Amino acid sequence: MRRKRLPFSPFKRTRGRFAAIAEAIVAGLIVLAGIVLLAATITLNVLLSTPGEMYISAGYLSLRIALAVAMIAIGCYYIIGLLWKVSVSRERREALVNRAGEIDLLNDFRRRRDDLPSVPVEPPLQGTRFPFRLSSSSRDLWGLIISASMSVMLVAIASILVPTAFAEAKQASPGAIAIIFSPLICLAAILFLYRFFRQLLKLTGIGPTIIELSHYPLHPGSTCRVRLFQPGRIGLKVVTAWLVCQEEATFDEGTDIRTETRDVYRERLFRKRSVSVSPDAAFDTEFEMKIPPNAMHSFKSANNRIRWKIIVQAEAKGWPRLNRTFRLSVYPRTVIETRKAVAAPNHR
Amino acid sequence: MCEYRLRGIEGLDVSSLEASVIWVTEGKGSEDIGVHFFQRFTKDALSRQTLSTPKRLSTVLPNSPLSYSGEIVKVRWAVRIRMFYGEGQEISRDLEFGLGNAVIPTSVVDDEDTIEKNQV
Repeated sequence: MRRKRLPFSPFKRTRGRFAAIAEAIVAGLIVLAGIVLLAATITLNVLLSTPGEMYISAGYLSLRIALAVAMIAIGCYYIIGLLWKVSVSRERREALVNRAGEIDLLNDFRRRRDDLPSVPVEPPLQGTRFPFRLSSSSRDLWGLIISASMSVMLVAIASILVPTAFAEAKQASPGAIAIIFSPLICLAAILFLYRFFRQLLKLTGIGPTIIELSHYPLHPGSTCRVRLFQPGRIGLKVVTAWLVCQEEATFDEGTDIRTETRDVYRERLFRKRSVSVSPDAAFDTEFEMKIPPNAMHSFKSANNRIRWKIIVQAEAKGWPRLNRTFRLSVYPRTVIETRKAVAAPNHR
Repeated sequence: MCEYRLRGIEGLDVSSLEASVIWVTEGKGSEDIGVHFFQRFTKDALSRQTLSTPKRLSTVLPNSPLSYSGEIVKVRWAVRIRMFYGEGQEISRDLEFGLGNAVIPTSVVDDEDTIEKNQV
């Protein structure tokens, strides 16, 4: 049911747009405050207690630790809830209801994998308007988890190191290690916190991107309709969708193992400027996609890959650039020609 | 189907012979190999007469991977005949063939307005 909007509430739209962002910031600050409190309490008690007397009494210490743990737990709970809310769309919920159909679909793709050696299978989920929904790369979420873990670790270290550095600075002959490392650790903690909040805002402000296909898997020369669905809370300056074929090669270089990628094919499928997106009205469009005839199919071996993917890029004023990748399986056509080539001697 | 014959092997003590249908990757990445068909003749199965007579191998090729000559990844198919002789010496010869006609497609960058008109 559509919410009724009061005509005399000019701030309601803005509040709805930024409510999740504000919640994310507040939740992040609560977690941060909890970590600092926990680290400071433990550090002070360890450093300043004497064998006979504790710096903080046992009851007060337990209370402070419980408060810090509660703050961390509440903040994490809010962040997880918020991420769940913004990342699970109506389409996905409906797809989960039709889980039985999805399982049949996956079995079909597993059978095809055996028939086509060296072709990686990217099984789709069930869509709502079109039958197939592509899975998005989870790189953004992993980036957020890594940033959060590094932030927590560095803030905890800084909370211990900074009081130690101050305590040492007051002494007649201060030790250099804590004084030197404190600013460096604080700087690193600030950088990771900045990265964490930036990624959190990106995930919460710009909702999940959904790509659905009318046909799947695809073959060279085949055509399908693509649905692009973008919910969110902020208007976008431009949205672009690309079809990309990428080669990836892994090789040894000295003692290192390196991976090089190269986009060998790139076609712009769709572009629109000034896209209006709000919690009540998601951006929803369709366009056509054709895999070029005679193109190479998806390929995977131990050190070499050929990937097909749809990349959705979006830009919003004052926000980090959105870049979401959806991998496709392009299968070879079943009627295949063979042709003669030259003989190559190979002596050992 | 492929037919092959060994020539100029008089006087060699051939210990075994292998025939295989393979695909190998070339290019920037480390080489990968996929063996689709493999046949080995041991010394007992090889006589002077059978060595010089033409031999045939026959296999149904798979649907993938297709032959491909990309920028940093290449896939080529070949029949490889490898002969072991003397004391641990060997010689091999590849007969390349193409499977399919996959190529690098030409990237399309349409006029921006055309794209925007095309949208629904």
